[in-house]
Amino acid sequence: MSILRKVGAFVRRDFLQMASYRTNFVFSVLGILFQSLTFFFFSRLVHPDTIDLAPYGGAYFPFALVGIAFYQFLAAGLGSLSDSISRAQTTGTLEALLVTPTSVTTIIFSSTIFAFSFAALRVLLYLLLGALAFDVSLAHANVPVAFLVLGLSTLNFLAIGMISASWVMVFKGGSPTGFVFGGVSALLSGVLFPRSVLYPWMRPLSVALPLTHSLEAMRGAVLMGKGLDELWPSVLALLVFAAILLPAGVAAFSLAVRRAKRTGSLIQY
Amino acid sequence: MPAHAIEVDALSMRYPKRTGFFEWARHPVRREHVQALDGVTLAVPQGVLYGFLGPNGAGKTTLIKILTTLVLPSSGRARVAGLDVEREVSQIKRRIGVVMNEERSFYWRLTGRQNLQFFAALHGMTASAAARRIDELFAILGMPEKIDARFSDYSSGMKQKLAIARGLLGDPEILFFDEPTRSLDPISAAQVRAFVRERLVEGLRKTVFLTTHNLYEAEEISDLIGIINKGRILASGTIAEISARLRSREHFRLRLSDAPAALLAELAALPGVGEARLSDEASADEAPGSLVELTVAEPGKTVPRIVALAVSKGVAVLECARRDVALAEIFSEIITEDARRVDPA
Repeated sequence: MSILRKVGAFVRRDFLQMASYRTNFVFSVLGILFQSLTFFFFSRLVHPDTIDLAPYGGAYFPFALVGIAFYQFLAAGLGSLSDSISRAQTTGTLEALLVTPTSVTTIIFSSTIFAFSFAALRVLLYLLLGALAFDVSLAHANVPVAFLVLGLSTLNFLAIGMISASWVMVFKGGSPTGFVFGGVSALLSGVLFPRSVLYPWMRPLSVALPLTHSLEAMRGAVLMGKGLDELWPSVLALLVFAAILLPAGVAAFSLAVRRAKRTGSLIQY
Repeated sequence: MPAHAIEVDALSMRYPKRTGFFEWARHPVRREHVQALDGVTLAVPQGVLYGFLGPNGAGKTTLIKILTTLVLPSSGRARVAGLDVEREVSQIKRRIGVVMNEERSFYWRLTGRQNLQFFAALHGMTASAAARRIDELFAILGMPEKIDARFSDYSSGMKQKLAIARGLLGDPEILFFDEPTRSLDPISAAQVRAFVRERLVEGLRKTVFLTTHNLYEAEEISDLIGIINKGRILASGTIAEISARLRSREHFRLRLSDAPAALLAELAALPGVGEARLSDEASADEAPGSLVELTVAEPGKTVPRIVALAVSKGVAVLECARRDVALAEIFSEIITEDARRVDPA
C-alpha cells in the first residue's frame, strides 16, 4: 500500500504542476491538430501507386497518423526517465527526494508514470482526431490487441529509457541510446513510410528495433482490425525484446546509481 | 540504542576531478581526483547539537551527504543511529531528517501544504496522518496562513521554516542541517537558531548535526564543535576542550604605556611567544596606553620574560591578564596553524 501511495503522490505532484501551467494542455492539443493537418495535406501528394500501403489499408494519412502518434510515445519513453533525473538534478529536488525512505528506483519510475500516461493520452488524441476530423476509420479497430501492443511497447520503451537514463546519470547527457533508438528508429522503423521503400540492405536492421514491431502490430490492430492470430510475430518480437531489454535496463540503472553515488555525481549537474 | 548517534571512522572521499574536453583530449587516460575528506574520525553522542565548522570547500557538505546516504565514501566507515551508511541505507533514511538550505529543493508552483503532503507520502504516511502531522508542524513552527500560498510567494524565512517542517515530517531521531541560516536575515536566523536549540535539542531531545561557517552561530547553540579544513578534522569536542587543547598557547592581554612596532617584533621573537600584535579593540578603548594581544606557551616562564623585556625598553606594564578565547579566535588559530603545518613557507 505504501508503494502505491508513493506512486500516487508522484502522479498528483506532476498533475498539479502541469495544471499550474493552464495553457499547456490546450497548446498540446493544438499541436496534435496542427501536426495532423500537416500530414493530412502532405498525404494528398502521396499517390497510392507510389508506395505499397495495401497491408495497412491503402491510405497514406492513417498510416502516417499511427506512425507519428507512436513515435511520440517512444520519444516520451526515451526521454521521460532521463528528463525526470536531469530536471530533478537541475531544479535541486533530487537530493530532497533521495533522503526520504523511498528507493531510488521507486522515485525514478514514479516520476515517469504521469509522462507515460500523458503520452498514451496523446496517442489516443491523435487517433480520435483522425477519426473525428479526417475520416480515418477506426470502426474495425481491435481495441484489446491495440492496448496489449501499447502495454508491451511501454515496457520496451521504458527499458530503453532506463538504459538512456543510466547514461545521463553517469555522463550527464548525450546519450547514444537516445540516438540509436530515437533517431535510427525514426528512419528505419516505418514511422512515415513503409519499410518496403528502404534499400534492401537496410530492412534487416529495422527488425532489430522494437518500434518496428510496435508499429506493425498497432497499424494491424487499429487500421485493419487484425487479431493475435495474424499479429503474433510482432507481439512475440515485442515480448522477446522486453525479456532482454528490461533486465538489461534494470541492471544498467542499478550500476549507474551505484557509480553516481560513488563519484558524487548523482546529485550534481 | 547506540551510545553515539553518529560515528565516523577514518572516512575518506575522493571525487574524480571534472575536466574539460580539451584537457581530456590531451590526457585521455589520466584521472585526477579531488580529496574531499581525508581520514575523518568523529563521534556525536545522542541528544546533542554538534556544530560542524569549516571554511567553504572544507568538506562539510561532503560529510553530510555521506551521512545522509546520498554519496558513498571511498574508504572508511560511518554509522548513523548505529546503522552502516553503505549497507543499511533504507533503515537510516527512516531515522533521519535533512534540512537543506537549498530553497530550490521544493516545487515552486505547488503550495507549501502540497509540497509537504508530497514528501509525507514519500515517508509512507497516509493522507490523514500526513494532514495531522503537517498541522502539528505548522503549529510548532508558527507558520502563518500563507501555507496555502504557492511556495514561490514565500519569503526566505518562510522557505527555511518549510524546509525544517519537511525535515521533521517523519519525526526523526537525528536531524542534519546544512547551513540553515545562510540566506536568512538576522532576525529569522536568530529564530531558527532558537528553535533548533530550545525546541529540538532541549525540548524533543533530538540529535542535531549542523554545518555552518558562522562561528557565532556555532558558539551560541552547539554542545560540541567539530572543525574541518581541507577534508581533515582539526579539532572536535566542547569549546572548552578545544580551547584547553590549545593551552600550550594561552592568550594574554597586556596594557603597555607604549607599544612601538620594534617592541612588538622583539616580543614576538621571545622564546614561548607565538604572536604579539596590537589589539583590534585598542582604538575603541579610552584607557591610557596600548593593548597588546599575545599567544604564549608556558606562561609561568614566558610572561615574566615579556614583562622584563618591556620594562627594559622603558615601557610600563599597566595591566596583564589571561583572556578567555572566543570560538572565532580558536577557529582562526587552528586553521592558520594547519595552513602553516601543510605549507611551512
